[in-house]
Amino acid sequence: MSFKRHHRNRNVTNYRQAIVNRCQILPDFRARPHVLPKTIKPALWMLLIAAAFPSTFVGQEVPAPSANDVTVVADSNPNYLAAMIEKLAPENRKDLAEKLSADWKDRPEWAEMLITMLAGKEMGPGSGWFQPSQKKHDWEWLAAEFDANLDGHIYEAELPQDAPYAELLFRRLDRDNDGKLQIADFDHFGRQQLTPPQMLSQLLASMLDADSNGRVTPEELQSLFTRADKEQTGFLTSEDLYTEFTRAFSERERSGSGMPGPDEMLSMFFRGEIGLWEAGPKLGEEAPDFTLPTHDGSQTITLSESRGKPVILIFGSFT
Amino acid sequence: MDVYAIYIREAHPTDGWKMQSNDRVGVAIEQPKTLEARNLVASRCCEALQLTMPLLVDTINDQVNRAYSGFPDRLYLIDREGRVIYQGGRGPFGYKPRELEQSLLLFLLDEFTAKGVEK
Repeated sequence: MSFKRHHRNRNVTNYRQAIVNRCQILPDFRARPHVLPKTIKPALWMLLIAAAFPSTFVGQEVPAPSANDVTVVADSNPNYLAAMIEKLAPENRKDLAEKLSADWKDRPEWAEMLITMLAGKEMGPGSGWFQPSQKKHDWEWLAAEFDANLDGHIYEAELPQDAPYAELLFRRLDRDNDGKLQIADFDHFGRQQLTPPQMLSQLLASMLDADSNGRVTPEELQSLFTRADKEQTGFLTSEDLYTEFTRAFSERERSGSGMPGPDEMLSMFFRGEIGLWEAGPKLGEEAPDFTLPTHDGSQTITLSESRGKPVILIFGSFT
Repeated sequence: MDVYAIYIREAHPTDGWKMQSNDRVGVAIEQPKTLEARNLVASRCCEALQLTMPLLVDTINDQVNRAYSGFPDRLYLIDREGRVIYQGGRGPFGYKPRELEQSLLLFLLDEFTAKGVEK
């Protein structure tokens, strides 16, 4: 059956059944998305979109898929789906996002991210796959252990005084330094208002740290002083600082944030340049073992040799 | 305790998602295509950020990064039996060193109180 004939008499809202009929892989995929090879995903999405919006593909350069195309496309060109989505009008993308969101429960986080992008929502904390951490020891754990009177506050005296790192334990847990622990001290993801000291210190640090290496040196401090003290009076007034900060801010704005448009973001998503489709090990699962050399070739490290010790892993790159 | 920093693929290379903030500080890096190239960028990174511990360099096909979904950046805490007890959110928004520190302190506190119960 050709794709066009198949869709001519079909109710568009009943797209799911149509896909299932066309592609036996789908039910399996929905039940166990992690067991299928990564390359199948683009083909699946292509089918979803084609089935949801058949009219979009009539007369388009991108040919409508047949069942046989599943493996062909999956093996040949992972960018195919990106190209296809780019042909969808913004309102069709939004529509697709809504359908997927309503119809696909228990979706993996990559699907959440795709839906967010299709819907044209801004990326930030709490959107798409940018979700809070998973942690065994959270505020609920601490409160159950130590908040005996359940008033939502834990004072220093309520923690064992002979605990490991006792002298620093309370101080480091009490992020807002108000002398008591409460749920907000453990909420690192909330969009609560920054306090004036937080705001001031973040801004100052970013202004002063000229080489952006996370360390403000005396030289960088001096350099700000010199720049701001235009008349070389040997001191700064708040007016001098205001002038210098205004200049620095407008310079930043001129060079722009470099955020790509929605189409480019989608292609980057499919190329894995925003994040990986994999979700990583969940809380309580065994950390995958690895053996890696150091950059200077001085040692080789195997994770499992650290058994018996807690291990911190920091993933990152230069840029 | 062991702390390992794993150097993975570049998030904002010149041949990918370029960022003005890197241009401003004169950092322009092409995505390494070989392990040798990746080692070189890792060295440069260590120097520029004055890191005191060596970086573990991921395989060029990103094996460890994929196993942990570590890109663009992410933090983990693993307990003595090798189980994940803290998985930071996806970077950049979920990268919270202070939260990792809290998790570590609470983990040690948990061990301490559990020992008390056993006695």
